Amino acid sequence: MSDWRIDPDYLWSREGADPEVARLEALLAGHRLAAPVPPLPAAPMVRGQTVDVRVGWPRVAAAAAAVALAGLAALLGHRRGAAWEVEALVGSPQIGGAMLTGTGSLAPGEWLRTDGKSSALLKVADLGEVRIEPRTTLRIGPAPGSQRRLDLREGAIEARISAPPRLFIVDTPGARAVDMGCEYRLEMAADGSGTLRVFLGWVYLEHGGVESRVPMDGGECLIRPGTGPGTPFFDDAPAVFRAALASFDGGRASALRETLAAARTRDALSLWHLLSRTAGADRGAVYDRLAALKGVPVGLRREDILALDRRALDAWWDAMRPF
Amino acid sequence: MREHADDIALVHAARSGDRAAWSRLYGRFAPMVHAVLLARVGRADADDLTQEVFLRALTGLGGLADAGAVGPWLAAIARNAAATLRRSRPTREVPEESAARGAGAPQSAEAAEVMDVIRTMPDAYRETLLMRLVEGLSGSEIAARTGMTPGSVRVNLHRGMSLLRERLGEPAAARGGREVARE
Repeated sequence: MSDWRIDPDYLWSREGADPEVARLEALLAGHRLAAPVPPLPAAPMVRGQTVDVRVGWPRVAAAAAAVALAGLAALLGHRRGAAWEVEALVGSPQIGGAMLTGTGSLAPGEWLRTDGKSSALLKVADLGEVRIEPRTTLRIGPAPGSQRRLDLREGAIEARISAPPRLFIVDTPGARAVDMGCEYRLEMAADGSGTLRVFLGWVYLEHGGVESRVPMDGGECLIRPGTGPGTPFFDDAPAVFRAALASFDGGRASALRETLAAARTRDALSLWHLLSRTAGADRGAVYDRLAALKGVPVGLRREDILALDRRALDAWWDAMRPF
Repeated sequence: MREHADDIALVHAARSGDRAAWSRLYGRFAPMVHAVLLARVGRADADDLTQEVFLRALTGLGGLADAGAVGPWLAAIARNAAATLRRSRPTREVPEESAARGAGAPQSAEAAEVMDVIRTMPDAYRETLLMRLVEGLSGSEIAARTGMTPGSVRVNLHRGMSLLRERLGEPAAARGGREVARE
């Protein structure tokens, strides 16, 4: 195997030949998925509807049904006011002033604090987990129904959530982060400024009627104290684009022209958000640049986009993804 | 991009009880989900957990606001399910692979060895490699299912394969110290 040179075309799409990769494929073929399709309930699913799952395949019928229904119960019927399990990963985090070693629980309203040498892992019911980095202060906040909420005062967390969207919320002084089923890192400074980086799925940042949709694979968004979430961008955007966008978000309206000029096709993520952050001739300029980069779906009207018609905006959003 | 639009349509149809749409959704994403699970648990557990992931998806599909993100959402459910299973197990070793080695069949033992090595690799590499080598997904299919850019997938495949080649070339004793990557 030491003389083996990987054929990138074969690795990508099986064009060409790479005997060693082909040998590995044959060797591992027995591990391929063989499980059948689980049945779909007879009744249509609407938002919030519980599902009565009848499992019919032989191997794990009872166990799978029990786990699914238990998970559903956890999502929809978790006791209000119940504490969350927390594990000290490094050092001794504090809960309500008391040192935590090993595992413990965090009750709603109690502050969890890590110093410069400690970190912790917080289990969020059946929704996932949150890694609490050093120098972080947070607590569980009140939330209606099946929602779970954290108040992040300052510091950094990395969340890995597998719940349906909008069940896990993180409130910060600068913005609310709404989980859409994903993994992300959120860092907040004491002055309310912060940064969100999304590794998987999406996170919506909301504040004062402003919404930023931050995707995975390099998606980032800055949070500014007092003004909330900035315009999302990709971390591989050219430096001139990022600088111009930051300047525009910081209040320099004249930076819009530089932003549009420097935008790549992928930066359509940012330009779509700029539609609702500009007005008049500036919004028209954003529309024209976005149309040039991504095209306009058949049936979509310029005047509807310029009027910020919600359905038109969402239709263009769906059409231009993935970025 | 056309596949992305299809995903949105399939999710909407499955929500309405369309069995054919549900089957297509499963067919499109189950191999990706299975590979994410195989990166963390044995083959038998991965098969079982694939069912569980889609059961959980059933309960949550009605509330999925961004239908276009169904792939990353399913992958996140899979990682969580695998983490929950592994926390419930007292032993760190993946039980199926150790049984394959004990069974003595050369090919199954070699497959177990390769799977062991892949499971010690970083998340991005092991999942992408398993989608390609085990489930037979092409690079563009991996990108479409996971939401990663084709460029990222290409890098993960090439670097992952290079790392796999390097580690398979190491003596077994040198590999022995690496654990399956933490969830």
